[in-house]
Amino acid sequence: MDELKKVFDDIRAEDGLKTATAEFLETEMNRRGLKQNRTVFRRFSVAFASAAVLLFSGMFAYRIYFTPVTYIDVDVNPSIEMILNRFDRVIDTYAYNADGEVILDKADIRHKNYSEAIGILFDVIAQNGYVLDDSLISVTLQSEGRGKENIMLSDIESTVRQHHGTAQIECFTIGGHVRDAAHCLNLSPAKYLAIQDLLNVDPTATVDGCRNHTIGELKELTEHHSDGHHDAVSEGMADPGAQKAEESEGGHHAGGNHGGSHHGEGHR
Amino acid sequence: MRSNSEADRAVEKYADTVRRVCFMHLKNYSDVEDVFQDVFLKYILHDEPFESDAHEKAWLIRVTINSCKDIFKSFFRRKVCSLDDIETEPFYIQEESQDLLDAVLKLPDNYKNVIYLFYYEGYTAVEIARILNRRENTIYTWLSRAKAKLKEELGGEHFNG
Repeated sequence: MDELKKVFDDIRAEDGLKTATAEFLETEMNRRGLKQNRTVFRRFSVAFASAAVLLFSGMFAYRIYFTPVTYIDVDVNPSIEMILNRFDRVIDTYAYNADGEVILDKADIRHKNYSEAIGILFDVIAQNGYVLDDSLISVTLQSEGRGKENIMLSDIESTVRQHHGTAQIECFTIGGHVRDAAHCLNLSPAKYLAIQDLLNVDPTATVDGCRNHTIGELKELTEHHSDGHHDAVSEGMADPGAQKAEESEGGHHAGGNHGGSHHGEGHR
Repeated sequence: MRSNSEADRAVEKYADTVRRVCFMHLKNYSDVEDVFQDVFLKYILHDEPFESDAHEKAWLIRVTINSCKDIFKSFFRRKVCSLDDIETEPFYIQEESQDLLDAVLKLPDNYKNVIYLFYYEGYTAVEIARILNRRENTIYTWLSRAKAKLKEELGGEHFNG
């Protein structure tokens, strides 16, 4: 078998064959390497583009969802504003006074539909004794021309009535300028309008002197002045809160303060 | 994919082995070139590590044998006879060894493989069975038949054992 070994030993790969093979492999490796790089690049590009699309979609959805469209202001004495998105969900809340803060601390209404949110809000308001049988509940609505205001108002009114059937309820729409002006004074639009009415008949009254009154009290004062009882009203305006506090059993009506605070993400 | 240097090392180290297997099965040089390219391309694309040099060599022999078979399986190769087929072997073989070589080359492919692997590469029947993916008994059968054929061809002076 040594002869067979000798025969096969003589068979060797030609240098040309080795060189040609090495060159072929080098070319092939470069080609495949580039292709692999291109594939990796393409794969990353697709992943990057998908991530970008997701990110932008997310940002767009976030922006759409958290863009304020409608403002509902509730004033019993707790003065509260609910800010709604285009899907009529509460995206932010604002308390105009300390009573409002107490209510918002207890009422979890964020991301809820406005109708459900109003229901929860008035449950908490009632549980805390802010609404009496003869209380005046004012709800204002300002929306960016969506044409749904009347439907929403009647929806809100029926919800409030379910909770507080005996109370006086007034629901109306306001313009953006009223809301802006009220906000400058840290007042709910309904209270702002009530103070405006009072100021028209009693020039001696001041906004700061009136802000702690309930809207019902402000309306009473306005009526009082309209009837020509100037002196009595002036006394009332000197310390109207004290006067009404004596009248109200729970004492909540006079308990508001001037500081307002946001609940949730600030949009202002 | 393996690196350039790994490819160069493999060509340098195993080119002679691959060439010997090709020599047994292929007659024309362009087929040898094709098999070389195919075998070493498969090698650089084979990402799994080899347990040892012996494992690496056995893998290359198996791939070379299969690649040679593929050459003959191709439709074009079966239907067309190239001018290269009439090329003479470039190797110088001593005259007294020519008969032995001719006798080995005349054997069927499976017999050629076992003769080469057993007598030249020194593999055992078990190892050959693993390389050729056959049962051990098959290898013994092929080996004994191949020896018998060579004895018959060469008159018994080369294969006494």
